[in-house]
Amino acid sequence: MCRSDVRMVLFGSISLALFAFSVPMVLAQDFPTKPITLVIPSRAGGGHDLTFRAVVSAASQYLKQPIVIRLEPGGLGAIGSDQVSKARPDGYTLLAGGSGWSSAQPAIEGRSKGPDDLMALCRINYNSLMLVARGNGPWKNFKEVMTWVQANPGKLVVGVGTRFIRDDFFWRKLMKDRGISVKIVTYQGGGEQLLATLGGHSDTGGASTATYMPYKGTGKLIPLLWLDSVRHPAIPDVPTAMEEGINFVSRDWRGVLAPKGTPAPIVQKLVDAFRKMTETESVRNMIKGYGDDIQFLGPEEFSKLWRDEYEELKKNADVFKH
Amino acid sequence: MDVLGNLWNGFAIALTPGNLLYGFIGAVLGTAVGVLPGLAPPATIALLLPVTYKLNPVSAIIMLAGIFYGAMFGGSTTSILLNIPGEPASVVTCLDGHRMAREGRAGPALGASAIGSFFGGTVSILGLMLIAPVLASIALKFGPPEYTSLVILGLMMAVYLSEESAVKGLIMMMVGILLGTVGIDPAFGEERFTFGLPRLTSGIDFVVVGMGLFGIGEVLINLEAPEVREVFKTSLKGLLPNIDDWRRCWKGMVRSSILGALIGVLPGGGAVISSFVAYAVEKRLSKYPERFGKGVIEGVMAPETANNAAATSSFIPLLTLGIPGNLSIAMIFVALMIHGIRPGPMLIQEHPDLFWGVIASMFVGNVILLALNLPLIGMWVKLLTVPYRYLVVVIIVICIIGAYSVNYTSFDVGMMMVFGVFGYLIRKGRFPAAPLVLAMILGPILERSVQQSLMISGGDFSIFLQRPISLGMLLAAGLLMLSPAARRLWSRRRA
Repeated sequence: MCRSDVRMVLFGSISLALFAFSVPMVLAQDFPTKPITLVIPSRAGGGHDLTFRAVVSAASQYLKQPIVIRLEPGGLGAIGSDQVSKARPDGYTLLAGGSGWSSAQPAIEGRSKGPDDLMALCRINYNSLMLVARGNGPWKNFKEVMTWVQANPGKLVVGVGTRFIRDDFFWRKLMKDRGISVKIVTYQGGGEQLLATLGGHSDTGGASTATYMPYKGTGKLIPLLWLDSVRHPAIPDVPTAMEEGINFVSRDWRGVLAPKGTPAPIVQKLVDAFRKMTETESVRNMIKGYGDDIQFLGPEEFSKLWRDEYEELKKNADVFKH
Repeated sequence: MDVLGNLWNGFAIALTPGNLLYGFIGAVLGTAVGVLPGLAPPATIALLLPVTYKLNPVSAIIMLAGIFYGAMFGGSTTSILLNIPGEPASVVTCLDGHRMAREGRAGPALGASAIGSFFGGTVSILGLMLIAPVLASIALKFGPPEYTSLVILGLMMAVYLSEESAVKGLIMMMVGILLGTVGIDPAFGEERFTFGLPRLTSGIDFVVVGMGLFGIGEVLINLEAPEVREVFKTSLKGLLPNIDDWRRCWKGMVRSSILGALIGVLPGGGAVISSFVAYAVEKRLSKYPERFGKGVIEGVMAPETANNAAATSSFIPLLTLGIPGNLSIAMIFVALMIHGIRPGPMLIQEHPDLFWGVIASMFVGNVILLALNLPLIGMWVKLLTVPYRYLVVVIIVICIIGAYSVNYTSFDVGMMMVFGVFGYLIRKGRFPAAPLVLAMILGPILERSVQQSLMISGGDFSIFLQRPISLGMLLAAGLLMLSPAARRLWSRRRA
């Protein structure tokens, strides 16, 4: 390398450093001055797409700038997550995080980016899951299913819709903790999996409250457990896993994440704006329409929750190995 | 008559000026989405969801459903004109459709596709109206073993698509299955053939392969030997299929509609499988099977009729069981939920106005689409009067945009170009491209359902033979595989 090259590189890096240093100072005062990009690392029309489109529809009311959604599907969420983790931490590039690509993938497979590489801004909401059994089986509730499993080891056919999280994690952890054995059959998505339970091809499956409601009282699906910490008002007689002595909650969350090092004033501004967006009447109605709720959490609580989920998955990663 | 009375009420709802307008908007958007590769119906419906929030539920569903089957109508246009399959369900349409266009019969091909789509859609709506619960029970009967056998049967039929040799078809099918394994395996989460590239972990998209093999491959072949195309001189007369065409294909249209309506209730690959099963059935029953793939109108009519019938009957699991079978239908599910309607076994009783309004609006939507598409044929055919040296640019641009918009990355564009070169090479060797593309779509379904079946049976392969539906389809696949040999043996003995 000749001398002028060295000088160029030196000059370049100094000016770059100066530039990078000056950015947060300018931004903290009147952030944002241009549209913000929210990267959603999953396909169009998925749960994250729908939820975040509803939420950011109110963005310009509170930020004076719109939030533009950029879909980066591919690599099971890893591609979009990697991009945001490497983006400039100036608040203009955010990530729609989720339990799948922000916790399970990094904790179990070492792919995508987890709480070590991204910072938490806020949680928008979460989905829990209901375990159901086919209607014509020899059981009326979860206890009877467990009794049957004990009498017939390795015979219960459990259909799950997603790998690593939700019911997949529930059953694999239960097998490890209680020393029981069931057959876990992985389907492509919740719809196929529930169809298999309705058709009697699986003994148990998972459902959201919205998909279960039309079957309530028909006897075609038997509700077993609600995998949240408290019972759901729409299905008040379905016990939680905790009540059955299983320390497990499934909270498939949707949250806003940012590159590490985003300045605190900007984080504060964004969190406040997201909080207001989720309190907006039209946004709330849309989310309700999807059969979901708003369960907003600020940075402190949310990052603890995310960290706990990640560590729990990491600790139990062996249950997914074959 | 209860059904007629209900349907009458349904039409009263669907034919209000406002609903007609929304139906029209949906049909126009759907046609546009279908014609432009890379724009997919689920994404369009997702974008429009906030708009439907302000509408009443029937109008909202009329519009969204219009987009969904409008895309099915429009999907065949680029297949026929430019040999670019915009969606998996119109791969088969390329075979005879583009051949017809090159022989100056683009008009009749587009006409057959529009009318077949209309007919298939209508038959399927009748099925939805009269025997929805019966059709829904088919979806419930299909567990992993049945899927496995259906896909095996489908793959056998895909090989049957190749015009020349079954062996070349089988080879292409194997390559397709291999390409389908790229990405993360469904059971254990291991990466396969990704070469450490994150871009490949979610597999290779159909659009990338389809556009490369068909669109770019065709362009490269034509660069080598610019053929004189008749299209540009004669095609403006005879825009619609003639009486002879009708005589040849009305029976096939009825058969394809029924096939499409039955296979369409299965979630996942229903529309795709039905399109080439219908084609294979018509080829099998035809008096001149050797002309399939060389531009016969039945080869356009059959898959287009079947895929539209399948698109319509894919509403059945949603409307009767409350379970969406594909991503577009899932969006419509969300639209219903926004309006406080939970589809499920009780929908017909609880919301008869909605159910019958939607049924009637599907009829209306099909009529609108037909009325919209037939006059467009003249315009599309004129597109072909553009000299090929300019058209080439259009084809390449469409392919690039299509490939780019899958994941918004130039990686996919590069990959499509590689498949374009591959498409050129296999064409030089007279290998068929369609079995490859179809096997690539069906391969992962086959792998998943085999794994699921073996999980259920504890590794025992006899599960595929113990279930009657599965056994029946496997036997049919076996017969299909043996039939050319048997025919040869028989004809030799006679000679």
